[in-house]
Amino acid sequence: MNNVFNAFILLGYATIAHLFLVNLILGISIIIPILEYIQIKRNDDELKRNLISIFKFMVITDLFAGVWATWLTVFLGGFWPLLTFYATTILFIPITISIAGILIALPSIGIYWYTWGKVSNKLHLFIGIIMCIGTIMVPLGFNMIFAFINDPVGINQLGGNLFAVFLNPLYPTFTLHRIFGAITMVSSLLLGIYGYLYYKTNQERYGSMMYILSYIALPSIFIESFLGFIYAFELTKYSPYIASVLFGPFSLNPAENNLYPLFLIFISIILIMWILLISLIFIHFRGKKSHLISISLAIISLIGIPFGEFINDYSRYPYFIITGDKGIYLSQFINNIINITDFWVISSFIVSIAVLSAYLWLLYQVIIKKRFSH
Amino acid sequence: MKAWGLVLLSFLSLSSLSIGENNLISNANAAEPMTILGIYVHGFFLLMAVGLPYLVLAYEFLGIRKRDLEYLNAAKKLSTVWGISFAIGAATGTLVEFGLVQVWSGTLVAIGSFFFAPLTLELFAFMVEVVFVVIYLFTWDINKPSWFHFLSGLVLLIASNISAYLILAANSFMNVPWGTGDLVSKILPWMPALGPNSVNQAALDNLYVMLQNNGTIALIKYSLENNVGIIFYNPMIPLLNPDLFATFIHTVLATIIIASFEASAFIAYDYIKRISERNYRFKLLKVSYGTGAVASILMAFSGDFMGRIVYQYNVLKFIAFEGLGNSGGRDPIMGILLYGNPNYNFPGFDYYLALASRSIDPNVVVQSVLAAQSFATWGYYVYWSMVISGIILFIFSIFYFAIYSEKLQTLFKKIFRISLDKFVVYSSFIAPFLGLIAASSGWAVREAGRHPWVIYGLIQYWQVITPNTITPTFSILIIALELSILVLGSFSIIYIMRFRGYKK
Repeated sequence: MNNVFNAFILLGYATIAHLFLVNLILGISIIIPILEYIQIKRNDDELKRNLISIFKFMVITDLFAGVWATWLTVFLGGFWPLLTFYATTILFIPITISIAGILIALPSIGIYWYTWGKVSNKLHLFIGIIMCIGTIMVPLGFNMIFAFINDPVGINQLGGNLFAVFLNPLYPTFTLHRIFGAITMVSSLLLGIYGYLYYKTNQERYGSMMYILSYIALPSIFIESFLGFIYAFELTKYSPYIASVLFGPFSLNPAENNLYPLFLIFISIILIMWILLISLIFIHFRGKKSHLISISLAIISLIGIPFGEFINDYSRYPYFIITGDKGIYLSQFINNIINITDFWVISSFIVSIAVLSAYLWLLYQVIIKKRFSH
Repeated sequence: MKAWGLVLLSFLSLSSLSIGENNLISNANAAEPMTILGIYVHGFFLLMAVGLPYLVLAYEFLGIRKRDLEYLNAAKKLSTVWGISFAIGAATGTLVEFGLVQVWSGTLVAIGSFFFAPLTLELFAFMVEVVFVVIYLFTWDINKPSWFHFLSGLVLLIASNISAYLILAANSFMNVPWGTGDLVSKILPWMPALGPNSVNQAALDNLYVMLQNNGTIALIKYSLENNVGIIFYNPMIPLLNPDLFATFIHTVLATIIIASFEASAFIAYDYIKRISERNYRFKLLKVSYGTGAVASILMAFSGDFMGRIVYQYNVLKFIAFEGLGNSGGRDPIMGILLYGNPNYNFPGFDYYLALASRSIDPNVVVQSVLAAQSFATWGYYVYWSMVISGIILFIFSIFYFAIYSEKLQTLFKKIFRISLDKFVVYSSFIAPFLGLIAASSGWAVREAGRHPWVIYGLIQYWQVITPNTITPTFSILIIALELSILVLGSFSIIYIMRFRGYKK
């Protein structure tokens, strides 16, 4: 087996799984305080019930996202030590911001849960906002890694100005694109789920959730799409290799590793999401229901981010850090101080798939079967 | 292209030349306080996550076996504390993890070689833990006692212990780099051979020189591929380290002692406050105190095992904490335990200093002995606070078992003028503090006694520090965060144990 390729696939797979889960957490963490504010203003107990369900879903997701985060850190250190050294040394400040975010977010999630109904509404909302800020700090830092490997601004600042990495032109757009991507993913997913529940049960508490979520999902997908367009434009300027891989015949120098067909599928997913979202909102505001559109929206909203992440990560192959229209090869970063046998790669795949399956099974038990009403 | 990479690599090496050994040492010294605190905060919650399951499962086992709702209720409530400790342990673990790869970024060499197998396998164990912690916590139904539920807890307990074993494998390698053959003895001449030789000695020598001259910059200045090569042939060998066997048993027993006695303190508090429920409280107390007592007695044997390993592989640490000084001398207890001879004359620091000429790097021998002498000035007291705390806990534990004999109870009351029941209740407030003192002192001796080495005899602490400057502001910020987690986490546990812990 080719260890470099296997380790790259394993890293990409773990990254996608982790980002899929953290985007769920990020989106929910941002939406929760908004919903709680509305709930307090309206004194709406039904909305509170929905909020608690969403939060419980987030807690389980957070546990598993934490596993993947540990996985990624150990995996990066074990398989890609030199790359990790670059990242942790040159991106010292952004990574510190992320760690501080994790350390704020995790305890505040616990406090938020245990203080529900035990402190004043305003104080509880305040804790929710702290949780939201902590969670947003995480992508603010970690997205610098992705911006850096697409355009290594600040690479010459080792032992110098560590803030230079913030001058990366790709960073602001990419980070905002990711944050709004998470909000879009979660609001569309919830809209789809509540649309389905409303169709099945005819309970008004699900219908009113759909109204509220519509006002979040629609502006969010608009902003996210706009930022995506800007980011694509920036890639052609600052990371032309990736642009050539993704945009194929529409780029200036089409690359050999052509992901253009996959990029078209990604654009189609976003377009379908737009169509389903607008359709669901339209029929809901006209007082009608559709379980088919609801389920389709929920499913497609879960596909967009991992698929986008896949083409974003794979577009770098065979390089790791892109330097204009070329890059530094993966093989220069792989661990060469021990012999990583196939056992490690295969067992990593098996264990991670088993854990992902367990996560999905638990979610099924909690959400669909309504078990474990702890 | 490769050329691009080489340009970047050479540029990085140029920018790093101004770092300097002295700057790296002061940087490492600046980073130490936050690292030490971070590890202690992590350890505080982790010892609950590892030690508490033994007590929780003991309650659940009794509850199912005797069909006793009171035991089951205690198990359920205590498992919430277990869950919270696990969550905070995982959060602080992230902090320690990032501390390693970010602040002590040179440890990536160790993570990518010596620690590769332990850490990767630990990841598998951690994944099993997360799945089963969710299953165990979310499937509790005390009205339907189930061996299946108990079994899921048992899997979780085994996974968390395997996880501890694997993490400690990395730490044990730092104390005793097992699998490096006679390499360390070339640098520190008194060291015995450390297991079978699984290292590429030429490559490791090369790495040693690179780190000695450049600190972590070596990682960038040289391509690992071209200048070091494969350094470790058998990544599984750190799992067979004799220091690991001793450390694992010692650490797990410590976690059981602290977790059990902490639970005892809360139960004892309720015992005093709620007179009407005393029988119920005492029933629970007997189990929690008993679990801690069994572990405390076993700890005496484990401590002996640990001590022998330290004497064999970290002799300078041994001289420091036994207070043998520069010229050495007699130590009757240790003489009997190690050689069966109370008059055995142990060598002191001077003897080891004289061996410097036999080393390939005499300077590091001098540095090692100086560091041990410096450690001895306070390490001696810390070590003895651990030993004395352990002895008191051992005595408490022996007294506890008298509770199962009426004659011994009467004898106890005659001698101490207090009933054994009352002794168990009141000593429950002292025991957790003794456990915490013993554990934190023991860990301090273990880690500080290794100074200045990160991996004993191979890599020094300043050689793995980040080339970025650790500013006081950064340190204060991290320390504030660590303290906040400690306070908030402790508050959560007290809140649950005190107000939700043992309601009947």
